[in-house]
Amino acid sequence: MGTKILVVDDSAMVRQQVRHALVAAGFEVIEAQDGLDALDKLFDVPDVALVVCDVNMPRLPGLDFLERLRRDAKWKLLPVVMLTTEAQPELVHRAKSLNAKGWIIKPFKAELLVAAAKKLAQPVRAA
Amino acid sequence: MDPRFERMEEMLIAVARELFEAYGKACVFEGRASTYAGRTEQESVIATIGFAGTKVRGSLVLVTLRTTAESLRPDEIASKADEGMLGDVLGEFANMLLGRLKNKLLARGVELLLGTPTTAVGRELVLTASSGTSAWYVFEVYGPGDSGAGASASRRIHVRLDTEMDPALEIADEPETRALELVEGDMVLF
Repeated sequence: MGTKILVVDDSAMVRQQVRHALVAAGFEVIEAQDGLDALDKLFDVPDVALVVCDVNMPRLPGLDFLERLRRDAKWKLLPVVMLTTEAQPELVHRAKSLNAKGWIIKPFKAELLVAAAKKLAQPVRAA
Repeated sequence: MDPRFERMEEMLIAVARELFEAYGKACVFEGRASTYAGRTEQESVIATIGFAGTKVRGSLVLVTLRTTAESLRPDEIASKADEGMLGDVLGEFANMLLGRLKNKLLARGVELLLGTPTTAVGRELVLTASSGTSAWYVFEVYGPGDSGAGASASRRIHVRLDTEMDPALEIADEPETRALELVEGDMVLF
């Protein structure tokens, strides 16, 4: 089994594009369609090594999800990369202040995403 | 027409070309569609997404035939496209198109918040008329395997930009460098 990456996006098209790139690079992909779904998935699959997360999503948007994540000591250091159409400096700064590890503007280049995943996703031993 | 709307229109046309070309499609802007009213006869897909700022609000609508929406689907997406996926594909293009327009406006001093896309698939869909300043635009989009010769209704995407602008809204002529640190396709690691 490959290192697990959680992909959070309300667009099934984007999730499939990201899945395609990451699976081809040897990663295992878990999908969530918004921030609340992502929190559930992390509860079910605690050995996720990296989260790739959209910003604008219904129910729980990406940066609010990141804020919720960081409140839990277990997820304080989990690497998160934002994947979004947004380029607003204030949003990038908010992500950085919440210890996000990167920001990618859609449409993404698969090789850059895979390079980021290889750099940031370290295999996690399940508890 | 309001010169501020014309400025938004210029940016929209430019970012539409950039977006479709980023997905390997040639994109030809055919012009404003003065007689189009958003009524579909053949099976079609509609995606709409709203935006709001302190001095402007509105929506962006994309309408195209089901076959054209299928052709927009990136190669790596499963070949069997159900209605949900078709709506999702056009909705994501609407999201990325408005996202690019938002970034251009941000660079000119206009901040917007975007909604999430709403989509519909069906025949005889009818859009209500806009209450603000509005126009339809026609783009022809085709991939490397298509012939580019001659306009084809089956490759057309109709785009409507609706806006309600406060008289105090100002859109700068030139972008500020501050907001151009990141562009589409860029990645920054912290």
